[in-house]
Amino acid sequence: MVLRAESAHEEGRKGVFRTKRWLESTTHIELNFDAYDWASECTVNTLDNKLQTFDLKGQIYKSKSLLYVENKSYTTVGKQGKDYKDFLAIAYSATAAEIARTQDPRWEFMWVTTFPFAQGQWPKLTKRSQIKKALEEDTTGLLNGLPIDEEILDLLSSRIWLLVLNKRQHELTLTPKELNLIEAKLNRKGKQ
Amino acid sequence: MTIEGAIDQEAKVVIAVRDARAQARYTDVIDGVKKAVADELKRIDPTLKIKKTEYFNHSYIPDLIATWRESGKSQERRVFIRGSLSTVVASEDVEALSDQRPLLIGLGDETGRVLKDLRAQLPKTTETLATEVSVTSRITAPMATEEQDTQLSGLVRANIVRGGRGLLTDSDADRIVNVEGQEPADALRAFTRTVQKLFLGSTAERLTRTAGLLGIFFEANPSAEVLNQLRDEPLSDSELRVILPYVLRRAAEVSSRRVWETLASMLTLERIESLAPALVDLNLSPIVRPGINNLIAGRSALFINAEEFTDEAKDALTPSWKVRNGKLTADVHRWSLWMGSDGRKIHGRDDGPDARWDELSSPLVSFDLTAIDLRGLSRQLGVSNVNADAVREDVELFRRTIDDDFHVASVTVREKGETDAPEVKVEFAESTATGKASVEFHVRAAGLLAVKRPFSDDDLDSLTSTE
Repeated sequence: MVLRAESAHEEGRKGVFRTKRWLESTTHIELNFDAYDWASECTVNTLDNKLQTFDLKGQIYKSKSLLYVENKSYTTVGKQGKDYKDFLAIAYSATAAEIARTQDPRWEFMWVTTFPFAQGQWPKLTKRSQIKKALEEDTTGLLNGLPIDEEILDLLSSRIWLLVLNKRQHELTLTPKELNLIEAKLNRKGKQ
Repeated sequence: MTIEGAIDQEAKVVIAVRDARAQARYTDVIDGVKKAVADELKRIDPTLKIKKTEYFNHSYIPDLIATWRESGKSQERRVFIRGSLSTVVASEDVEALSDQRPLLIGLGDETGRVLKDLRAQLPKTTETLATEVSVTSRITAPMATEEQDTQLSGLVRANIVRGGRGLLTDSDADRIVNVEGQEPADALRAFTRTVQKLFLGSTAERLTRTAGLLGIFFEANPSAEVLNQLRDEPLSDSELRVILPYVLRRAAEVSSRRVWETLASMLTLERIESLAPALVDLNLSPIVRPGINNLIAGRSALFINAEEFTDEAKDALTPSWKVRNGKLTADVHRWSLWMGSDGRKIHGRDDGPDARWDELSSPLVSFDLTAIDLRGLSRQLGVSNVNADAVREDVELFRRTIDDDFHVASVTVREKGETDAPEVKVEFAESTATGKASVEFHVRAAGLLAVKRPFSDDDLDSLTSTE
């Protein structure tokens, strides 16, 4: 499976930028790149030597980690359950590939949706067991025949985010003008 | 955005952005893109200071902040770099950032539909400017020479970052560039249309005023009210940098002397020096002569005219004012006369004319002589006296009583019969005249250095007559 940027539909693209604004409005995250204008920056290599592109890429200031975001602007549940598992498997495969190539990249992965899914399992969706299950169910060769590395599962389990965004969230968020007023005082980036 | 008549060479900024995007490390991508855009903004308006923020492509924090000073106050424009204008549309930046008066600059080259969508998002009164580097580069690329910088289009360009608003497309950019190529009346109309489309508020007023003034300057009877108002509220340097060359190039079409008097009233020698790059190769006499008594020089100098003309050609030319090497100058046949607002701007030489009292005695009659240094074979004498007649009498006495061959090293002179007038010291070896006095007085004082080949009355008239 291949993660696809939400480029096919205008609403999907708007949704990506709505998510970007919301996440940046938390003052903890900056998402410098999107898949529409900066596809290569949002692309990772997986163990099977394939490329996977996320909707957004940026950084979490506090942990200084790179963050990849997959966004779903849905009005129904769709195939999210399956797509989410693919997302977990890709997150693992990309991390494992980078560890094999250099070292632990400390990447974090975030799934943002406007429509919750798999609600019966919701509390478990970011757990280690779910990542493992996603890898076991993968039929696209993301492991490239390699065994699942338990240590990588441990690393990754704390690096998965799952958030639900309501379209009206912006009404409850500080405005850009207000955020500008506090940005320097908060100094989230730890500038000197 | 694609239009006919595409520029031949790919713009520097477009290449720089592409190179930056090809970098392997994302931090290098960010640094490279921000530098490319910052350089582009500086090229549009070299007087801007561009500060890079710690952020890149952030929803509400700018990538760059352009600052400048206006009427003594610091002003700024927040610049948001976006991968494309499509992203600007999708992220609804126009609405989200409207209170920041942003300049949204895309790195792409968008199609008609995106521009239409973006135009629909921009309110008529918006203070947001949306454009692309591929568009701004169309304006800057053909405008690189100093001469073109002084044209009308240059004034629009210099204000784009400061006050531009709405959507600036490549057809707008081409219209700005092409303004100079049309007939003057059409050019002024095109200029005004572009100004009204791209600017609001004080910038629009100022630019519209410039276009209006240019029209008025060429009228047979320009409005006295407008000209008087200009004396009260003189034009800024950036306006003069455009207006002076525009009017001076069409000097023959200016029929009212009051236009020249008004423009002259705004000038000081310092200002002429700071505007010098815009005034190269222009005959400045129309704007220098009416104000020649008010322009104050700190030093003047008279050197041999080093222009590559024959002596006959030099003798045939009527002296006129121009700028050369950043200074006001006039070629008076075989001499070059230089004016500097400050003594430090003009360096003397040590091969000046050999001047004898008998040669200077007559031309000095038109000045009050307040001091003189005489060099004889065996003596050096210095005489000074607030009573100008006394100095002259003393020198005549020395000539009669001391058997020596006196040369004059320097004389200090002031306006005849005006004891409060400033004094200027004329030094012959250095070929300079030093002292704060009007350019008109400096012309005459420096004329003392030309004793071997004096200025004629016609020469002086060509340089100093206010008629």
